[in-house]
Amino acid sequence: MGNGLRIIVCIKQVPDTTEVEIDPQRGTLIREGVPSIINPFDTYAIEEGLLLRERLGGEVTGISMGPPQAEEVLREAIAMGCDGAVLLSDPAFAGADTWATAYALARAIHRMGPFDLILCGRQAIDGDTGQVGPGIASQLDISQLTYVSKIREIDPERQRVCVERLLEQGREIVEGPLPALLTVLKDINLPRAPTFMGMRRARRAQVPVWSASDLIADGAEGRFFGLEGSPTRVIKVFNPPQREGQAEIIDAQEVSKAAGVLVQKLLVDKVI
Amino acid sequence: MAFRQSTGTMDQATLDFLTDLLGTDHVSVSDADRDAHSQDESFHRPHRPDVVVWPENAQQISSILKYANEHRIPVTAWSGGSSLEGNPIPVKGGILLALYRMDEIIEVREADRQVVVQPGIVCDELNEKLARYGLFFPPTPGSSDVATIGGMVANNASGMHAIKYGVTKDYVLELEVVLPDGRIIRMGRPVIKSSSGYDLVRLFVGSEGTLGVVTEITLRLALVPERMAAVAAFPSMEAAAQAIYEINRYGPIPAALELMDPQIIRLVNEWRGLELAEAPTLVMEFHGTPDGIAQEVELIRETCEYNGCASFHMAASPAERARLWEGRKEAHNACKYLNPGCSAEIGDLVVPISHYAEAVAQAYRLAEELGVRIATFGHAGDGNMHVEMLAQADDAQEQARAEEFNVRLVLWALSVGGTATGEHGIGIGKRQFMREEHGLALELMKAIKQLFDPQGIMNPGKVFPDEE
Amino acid sequence: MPLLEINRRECTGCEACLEACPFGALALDEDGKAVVNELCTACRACLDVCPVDALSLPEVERVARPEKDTCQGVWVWIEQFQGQPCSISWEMLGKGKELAEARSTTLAACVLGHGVEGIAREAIAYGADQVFLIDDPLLSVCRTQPYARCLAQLARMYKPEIFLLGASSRGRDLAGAVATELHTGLTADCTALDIDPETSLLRQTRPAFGGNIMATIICPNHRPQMATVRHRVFETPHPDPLRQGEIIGEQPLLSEDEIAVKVLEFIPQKEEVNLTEARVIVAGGGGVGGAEGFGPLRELARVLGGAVAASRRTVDEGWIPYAHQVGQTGRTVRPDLYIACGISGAIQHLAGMRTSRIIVAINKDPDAPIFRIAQYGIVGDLFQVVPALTEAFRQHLSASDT
Repeated sequence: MGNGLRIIVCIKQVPDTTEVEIDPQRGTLIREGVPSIINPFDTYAIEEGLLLRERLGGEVTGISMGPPQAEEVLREAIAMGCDGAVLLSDPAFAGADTWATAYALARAIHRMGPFDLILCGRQAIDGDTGQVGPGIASQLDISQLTYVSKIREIDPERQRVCVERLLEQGREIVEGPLPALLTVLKDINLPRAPTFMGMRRARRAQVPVWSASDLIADGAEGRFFGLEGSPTRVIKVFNPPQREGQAEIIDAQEVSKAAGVLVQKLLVDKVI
Repeated sequence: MAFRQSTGTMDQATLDFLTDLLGTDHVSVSDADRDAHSQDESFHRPHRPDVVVWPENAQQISSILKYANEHRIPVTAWSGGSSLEGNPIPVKGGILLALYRMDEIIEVREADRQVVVQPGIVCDELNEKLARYGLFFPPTPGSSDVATIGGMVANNASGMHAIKYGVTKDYVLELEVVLPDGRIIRMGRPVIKSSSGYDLVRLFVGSEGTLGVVTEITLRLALVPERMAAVAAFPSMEAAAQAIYEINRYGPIPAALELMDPQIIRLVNEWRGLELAEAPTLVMEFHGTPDGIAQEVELIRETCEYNGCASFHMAASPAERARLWEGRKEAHNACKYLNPGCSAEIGDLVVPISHYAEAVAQAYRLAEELGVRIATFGHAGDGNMHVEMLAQADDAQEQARAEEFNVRLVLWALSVGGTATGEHGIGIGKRQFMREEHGLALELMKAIKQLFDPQGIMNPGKVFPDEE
Repeated sequence: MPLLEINRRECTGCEACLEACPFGALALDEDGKAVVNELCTACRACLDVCPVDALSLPEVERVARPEKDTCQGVWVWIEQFQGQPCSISWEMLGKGKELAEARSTTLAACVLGHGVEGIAREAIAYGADQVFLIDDPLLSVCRTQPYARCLAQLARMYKPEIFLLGASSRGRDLAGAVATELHTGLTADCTALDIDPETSLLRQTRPAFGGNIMATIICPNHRPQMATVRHRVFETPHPDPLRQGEIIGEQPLLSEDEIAVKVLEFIPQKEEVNLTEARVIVAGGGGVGGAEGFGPLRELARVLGGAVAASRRTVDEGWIPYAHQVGQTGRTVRPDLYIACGISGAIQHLAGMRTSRIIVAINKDPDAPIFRIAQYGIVGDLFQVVPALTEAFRQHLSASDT
């Protein structure tokens, strides 16, 4: 690799699930007025890429797979400071599950040329699976390091990276080769807001759109895209049980009995 | 005041009216709810309202005020409850209008750099939502993580960026207000400037809820700039004061210029586990284009070094800047929570900037004379000093000494052309200085209050001293 | 070509489908007929609500009946850390047993590690009929590459139809890699798993959209059908140490020098449970009466492995440090279980905890606002109720302790 790091950041445009409300009458999702935003976890990945570039030089490129309007979040990434971005958009990609999504993104990254690091957010707030990152790493046959809370060291010359991973029992210090794919946690940094300098750049930036045939020309198999390429299918979508308005008051005449009743109920609710 | 006296409970007829209007789950007389709205972040004595209501729109508020006006029931508006002078404490009981559920962003007007919001939205949350547009609302008080736009409008709040960006008044373009008689009025225009008519918007901003209830605010926004922060520690207050003088007089003017004294730093180090040098410290921020701010930082570094600073550090990334500012933002909490059982009252005087260094010296002189524990920090760039006065809550003597200190310091500030409050508002505690500060102008203010609120129902017991 | 087909002749423009679509993919055109855009994900939400059956998913319908399955067996990966099995894996075995019975097949456990034969035997006690064991130094610490390769290798050799992993950080990391390598479907964080009696497929139900909707997912044509499940969604079965089973040992097909990732160090987490990350929180309010009043609450928190929180009042009074304060001027928390003791439910406090999954309120005052947002309430003296609860929890937890 030449000077600095060649970094790719995977970005997704998602509905702002914190703003989604349930219609109290029908129990259905109210989609109106719910803005589309950049997946909040991805902003941490972008910020980490920018911090690495500031320290070591190089280039940060964003990539997203989505409908044409997903270009908005790529421009936001450029406004934050990314050098450029690519949008993968084609009806052929529609209906993709995480396997087919990872496949398409991996093929596109392959088409982008050599790289040192792929950065992903920990998960998307709509899907919440956290599977696409590992999927891409597997497709590209590169190391994956997930739940990264800190990049301790990265050496483009020696092609090694050392990170801290935050796991249930504590922190794991791991070292691996480059190129690698990292999924990062919110603990890792504090993402910058786009400044006017970035907004100017984003306004002028060209975001190329790649289609399925672009990837096929580069060697991808079309049958692995979109719904057709997805091993999983959604067969039903329904509303979760509503929270009750009133508390269930447990008779506490006999305190130890009441305690036992409560414990049983909490077991059923699976909170203990 | 002409309103009806509170008996501690609201009469049934009024409760029925409110319940019919708003629905049973938007009205509460429970002890817990009333207690929750009886005290802000100050140490003024709590006082419960007779009833708490959660209106959802201006029409409901209009009906409530109309009724309250006819029956002469006090009404107090409450948004974040994060104020420091007892501003929203319902000292005469009555109806408490809880507005924090009216917290929507109604419209972002990107091209005009404006946003229309409801009063209950929290300042930091607004800026988080605006970040993607590269826009922000600059006045950021230290409590921006809990302060709401409605409260900021009521108090004409501001914070560390006032030196460059100004205060809330400078950003409010248009207001929708419900007057005490129930009329809903719009004032102002969503344009950058106008010389048409009397400026009612700027009458309302800073009126602390005594003239009406604000239900919609159109704000002007600034572009998110490139930013850099810097911190300089000085060997003495005199050295720091000299540096401040030179920066203020000869520039370049930073986007924030804060002074922390060693006592505050010690508290903050303990509170947050930081390792800042316990010396008079300037914390600064620079906004603009990359080359521009780099040059500004160099010029300021030159000034600081010329005045003998012991260290000068810079921070560019958001995380580093946040760490740098953490100390300053947590100053009040550090005082409060590291001294449990103490009241930590906080003074807010502003003096002409040429007197700022003197103000700090004066504070310490008085503190020593009266035996009061203090720590100071403040917006050195606009002459606004915050003094933390610590006094054990159950020690009447110490409380009295702290109060005397407060009064004498403020009177001194007034004597050099200052004001009793730069940001926190008059509320309850600063009424005692109104006469001294405004003289005859206070009569005009009373006349205006009488015009808008003849029954005196809006947030009684605030702003105007209890004379007669 | 869009996935959804709309029969314009039948369509009445009633807009039912527009409202049902979670992705905003439907709209009405100038003729008042429904049209679909590229946001459609074929989730089927609209099909169910159309009163005139004008909607269909021909591409999806075209999916063939699942091929005659040569794959059989339900597998569970047994996670271990530093030689100790993780209890989430026993929960997977419990569920796995149920699924295996529904499919009239065997339950197998996959154990990877070094010096972990004891875990293999434990897996049998917890219900596994077979255990595939790869015991090798290169597996002593969990690393994605060797673990994923080994699990994929086992799956290719022994062809399970279902493969479950606990959705711990390691489990999620590993599952994604294994599923991609095996070119099969994976559903994360399932809250329900069952076998469709008609199709014999595993039905995987999980929350989406930040938990605002639930989706049921199948993996019709690829094997194994993979799913991850979070801790405490399923129950831990009772182990039977006398159970018999088969342990099948295998060798890894890769060597240490092929593995480029090295784990350098592990730094265990500090004792004290972080308030913002705690799954269980026991909180005290004015009713606690004083600093000592927190004693019973601390004990309950300890038994539950949770953290202690406090209302502003108690902090202002100096009964407990500010670090424990939950509420508007303290922290915001989102645990699975929030037990509010002697807390009235002031708005500022609620702001900090109202999105907790289950809220239990204990208060002397039956009119306390906290009961409005709690799922369960006990009206009584917290100094009697809390110790009783502690005892009841202690009894239960010791019964199923691993």
